Amino acid sequence: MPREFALLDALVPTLLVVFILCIGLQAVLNRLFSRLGVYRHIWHPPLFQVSLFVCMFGAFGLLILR
Amino acid sequence: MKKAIRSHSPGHLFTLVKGVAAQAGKEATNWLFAFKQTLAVLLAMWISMRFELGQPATAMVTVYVLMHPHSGMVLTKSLYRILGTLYGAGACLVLLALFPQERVLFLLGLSLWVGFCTAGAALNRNFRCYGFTLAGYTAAMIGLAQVNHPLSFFTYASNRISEVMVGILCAGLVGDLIFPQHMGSTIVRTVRNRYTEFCGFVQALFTGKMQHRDVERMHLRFIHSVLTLESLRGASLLETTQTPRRDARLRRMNRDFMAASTTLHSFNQLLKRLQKTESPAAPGLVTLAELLAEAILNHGEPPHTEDEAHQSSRRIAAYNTTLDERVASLRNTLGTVPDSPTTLDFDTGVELIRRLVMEIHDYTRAYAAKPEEHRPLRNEDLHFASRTDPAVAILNGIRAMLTLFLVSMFWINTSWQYGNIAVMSVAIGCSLFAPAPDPTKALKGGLLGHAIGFPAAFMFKFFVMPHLSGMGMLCAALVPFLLVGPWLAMSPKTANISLAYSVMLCFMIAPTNSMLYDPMYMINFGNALMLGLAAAAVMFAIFLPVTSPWFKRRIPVMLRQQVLKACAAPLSGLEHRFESGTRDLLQKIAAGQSDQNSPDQASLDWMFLALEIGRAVFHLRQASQTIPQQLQPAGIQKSITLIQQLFRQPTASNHAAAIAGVGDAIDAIRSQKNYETAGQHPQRVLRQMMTSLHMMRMALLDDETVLADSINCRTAPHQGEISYAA
Repeated sequence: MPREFALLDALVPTLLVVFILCIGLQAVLNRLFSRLGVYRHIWHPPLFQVSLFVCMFGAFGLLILR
Repeated sequence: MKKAIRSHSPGHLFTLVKGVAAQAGKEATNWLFAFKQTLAVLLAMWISMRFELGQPATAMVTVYVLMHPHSGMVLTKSLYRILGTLYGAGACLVLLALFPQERVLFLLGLSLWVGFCTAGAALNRNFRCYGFTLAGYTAAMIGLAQVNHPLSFFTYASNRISEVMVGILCAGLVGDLIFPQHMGSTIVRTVRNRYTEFCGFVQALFTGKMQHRDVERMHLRFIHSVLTLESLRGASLLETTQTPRRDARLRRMNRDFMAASTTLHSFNQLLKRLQKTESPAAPGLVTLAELLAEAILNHGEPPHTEDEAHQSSRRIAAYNTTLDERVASLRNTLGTVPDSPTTLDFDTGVELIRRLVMEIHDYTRAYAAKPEEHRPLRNEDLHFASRTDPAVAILNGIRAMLTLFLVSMFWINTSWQYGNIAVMSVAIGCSLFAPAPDPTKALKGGLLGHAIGFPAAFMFKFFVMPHLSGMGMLCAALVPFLLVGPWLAMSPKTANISLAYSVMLCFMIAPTNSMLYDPMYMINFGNALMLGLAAAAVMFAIFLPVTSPWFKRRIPVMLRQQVLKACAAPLSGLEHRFESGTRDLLQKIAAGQSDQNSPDQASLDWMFLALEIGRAVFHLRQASQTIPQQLQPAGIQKSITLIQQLFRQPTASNHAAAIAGVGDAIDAIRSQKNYETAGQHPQRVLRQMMTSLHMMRMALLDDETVLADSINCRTAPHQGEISYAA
């Protein structure tokens, strides 16, 4: 995958797109988890969320930039 | 002497320690927030410098603008703000592309955009409000700095957007990850206090311990509490621990609470009117009310915990089962014929008590039940209607636009070198301070904050900063200067200075990777910032200030429109929309309610009247829908139309017509009841309709309401003319 792509002739880093997609995925997962009551068993829900986000973003980012 | 102290000391020491601990606990959360904010600011500064973004001050200021003591969900909440930033930058890009050579048109377009965003921020609440604020503020910040170099706009804009986003993310991450202060505990405390307070209020009211003023103050407090809970609920929706069930519980409790407090008010009004005319129905109703108060209380104390509320709920249910017997025996002792006015008075009171009992029972049950026992919302429409006067929002927008445009013209005509900074300051001031209940006061505080921040920044930049080397030293030296802002925010007196101080400090110090020490530039820059804000303050004070009589007159008009809505809008979900919308309208008054700033009495009276009549109309319409068409009494629809007419134009003739119409409708029902062809159900409904109508008639006939006052005001000069002519 290219590291940057042209959006209306402006170079946009591909990572930004991954970042935005990860936010979307995070929102979906979050809704699912709170519906299933997963967060009741987690000590620090925001920390969990951010860690999950970092994991997702890191994994997808590495996959794309490999 | 010494002996006396010693003998008292254990008790004294205990209370002293307890007081200190309580004070320290309160202070500790404040200081925790102060440190978190400072940490987020330094983090934003460091990241911006590390990525060589050019103006770390933008990221720092964004943290100050956005950070809130309560944590929320980081990424989702940031989404609105990021979107706002992008919209702002997009608008600015379009403007710059359209008018690269035309400064007047460009500035006019920018003024329009900032005006639009200010109006949007005033019209919306919570996160959408932040989105609008950021859209206006980003556009001004990007567009004005680059107005002379349109070709480098794109790099500049993307750097500013990146900085704003760094600020947003730092504020969110630090707020949520480090000792998060969850809204959940605040909500539980608010809900509990309100329930206890409400029960205490019912008891005090029914035992006649309260003055008229106290009753009003209490109702205002309740309105304030309803809105606080609603905004807390909205914010906590983005919190992870908030489940749909808890949300449903809060929404239901808010609905039941509003319904109960309105019925309570209506009942109290009715009782007052009956006692004034010395109706024989009054003593019986008082007895019923006292018994109800007794049922709510727990051993003479308002219930505090959920368990106590559970017991109360059972006692209220028991009261409800014996209510019919009590009413029958009271009616016997009253000994009047079924259709006499006294019986109608009594029936109306009993109907209200029945409703009140049901609503208090619902409220108590919703409070006592555990969150897990609540069903999530399905088909219930419990949407909290938010009513802001659109005229106020639009005027806010126009005012911001005019200020921006005037300062821009001043810049062009004087070819002031720092004019763009002043225009930027106007835009920031307008978008930040316009949503406040009293923008003029907020802007004055802002000016004072700027005035304090200016010398502080000067001192830091020219006496401290040259001696520093490295990031660690910079942070360490900045901390005491930065902490002044949150420290100012701790006391309510100086709270409105704090944001402006922090903004000024960050913009003036403007730490960058390669510092530029130019005192002349800095002083000019600071002066431009101050002058811009001052211009905004002057405009807010002179151009239709929010506290002007015109705005005060708008509130009753909006409240009367609520009644029109209750008369005509579709019935589904109307009750909750009506109740919440009417309260929301008064929010600004209730929010600014303190000892020295008591709300406008006329608006308050209009709100109570609107609640009373609107709710009665709603019940009337609801009841008339449940009976078949052929049993529909004549004149109901006509009476509603007449009420509508009255609330559209409160004149003496409309007033008389409405009273006559309601009277006709009552007579129509009465004559229909004599047919006695109807079954059990329609008869009960007809009685309910009659009591609703009777209540309206009493409210309309009462010559102490604000409606009667305004009609007398309108007719007085008219009568004068006649007598003069005669």
